[in-house]
Amino acid sequence: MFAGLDPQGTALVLARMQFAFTVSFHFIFPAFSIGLASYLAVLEALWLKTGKELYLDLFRYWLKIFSVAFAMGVVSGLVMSYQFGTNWSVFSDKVGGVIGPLMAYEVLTAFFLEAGFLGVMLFGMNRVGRRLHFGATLMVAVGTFISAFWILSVNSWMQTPTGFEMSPDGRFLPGSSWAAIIFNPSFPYRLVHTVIAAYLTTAFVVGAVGAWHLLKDRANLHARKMFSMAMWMAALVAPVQIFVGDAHGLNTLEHQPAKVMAMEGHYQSHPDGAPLYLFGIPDDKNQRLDYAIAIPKASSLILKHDLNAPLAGLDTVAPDKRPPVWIVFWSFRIMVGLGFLMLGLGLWSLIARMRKRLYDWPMLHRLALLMGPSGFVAVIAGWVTTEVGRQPYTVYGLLTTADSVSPIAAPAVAASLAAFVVVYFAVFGIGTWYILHLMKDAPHPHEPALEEEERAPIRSAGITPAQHMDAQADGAAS
Amino acid sequence: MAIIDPRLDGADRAEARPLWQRLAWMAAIWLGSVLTLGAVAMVIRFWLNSPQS
Repeated sequence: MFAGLDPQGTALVLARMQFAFTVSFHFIFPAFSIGLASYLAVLEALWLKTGKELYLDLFRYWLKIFSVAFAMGVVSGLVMSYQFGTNWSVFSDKVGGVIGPLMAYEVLTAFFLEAGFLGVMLFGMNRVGRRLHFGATLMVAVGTFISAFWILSVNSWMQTPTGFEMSPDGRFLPGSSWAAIIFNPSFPYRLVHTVIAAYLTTAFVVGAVGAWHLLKDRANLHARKMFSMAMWMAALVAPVQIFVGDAHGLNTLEHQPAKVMAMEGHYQSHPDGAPLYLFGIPDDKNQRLDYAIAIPKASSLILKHDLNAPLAGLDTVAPDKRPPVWIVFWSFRIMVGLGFLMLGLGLWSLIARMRKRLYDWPMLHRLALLMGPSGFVAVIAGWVTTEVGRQPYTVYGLLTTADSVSPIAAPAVAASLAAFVVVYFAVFGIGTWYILHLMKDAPHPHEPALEEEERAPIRSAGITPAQHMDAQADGAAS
Repeated sequence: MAIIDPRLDGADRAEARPLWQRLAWMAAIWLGSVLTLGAVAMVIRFWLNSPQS
């Protein structure tokens, strides 16, 4: 893959591979913790409102998992900022005046809202009482959202840059209005689409864990409750996400048409209505889609709401300004395909609920278990679509990726990439194994809190003391 | 007969304390968490700025 590349070209490819690898690993954890922080806030609110111990048990069960996922998100995120200095110093030098303050706000949020109140959330229940503890949980949930706000604002500005001025030496500087930078044209769409994706990711993990425990014991009230809540999310939010994704796509068509051409596989322009390609093998060299399966004019209908609307293809874009179609075309289809599978599972759960078989349909539970990782795959596929679709630019239309990389030798980038691969799989492999280990144990009545873990009584297998039955009856799932 | 959940003792005891005490505990834990993270960040910063790195 490096044949024909000069040393600087090789370094560029390796630097891009390193960023893609580390950001893909990192994205898994915030995608989970953004949704899980809100889920924890909902569980604690329900506990305070209803007094049902079942919600507190679920809160404590998921809080342990949240704390591990949060820690891995912080550690993997640190690496991202280092790379701005090591591999992308030219980019940092040129755009630091605009994106630096936004990223600083993200760090401040992470410090003072997320990390600060996480301590209260983990260890403060017996010190601050229930209501202040709930306040801390809300602060963590709000903090994860605000962190996402700033990071997505930065990313969206790189996709649709506005509100800046250029200095004589080619640096991007803030213009008269920060609002024009923060609320750039693609930001509202990307923020809503990504945050909903995080909620769905969490819902499908929670649903899979609930399904796993229902397959082992369909009478487990805690598993029933978490499965029910997750399936409500799937049924209600997956259709919303499809509409939001469509709106995001229309926004992308307006501001980054070449990205949409690559997503659609439109090498050629279609003056009389463009087909929707369901399948095909992109051939960048010959600029054509092989073995295509298409629905005539459907792409024009989706993108222009008119069967006969003309759509330009990549033949209208200069060859050196085209994104690589193969990756964008397929990552987009993976994301959309998983979105519709999520909708399908949500609809099936509604049918099961109406037929009063939500907790008694092993096939549904098996599919929910299988769909557990689907949110992670979908968010990474979506991220790949938007990032690779932006190529060959880092700041769309203004600063190319080739002009953003550090003057660094390829062997140095290769060595650090190899180290990242080894360390990431070791560290995050252990972390992920531990999360799965926590999920393997069924949630149960009197779930111990983190600060009580060591002095909690050991539960005897097969014995259900009378007070546990009372607690279960109090918190009977719907 | 109602059974008191032993795990709620701590939270119940906390609720019985005056608000200022609970707020003081909240501020203390919050500050401890922020300082811990700050200390880790400072260690990394010094490590990156060391002549060997």
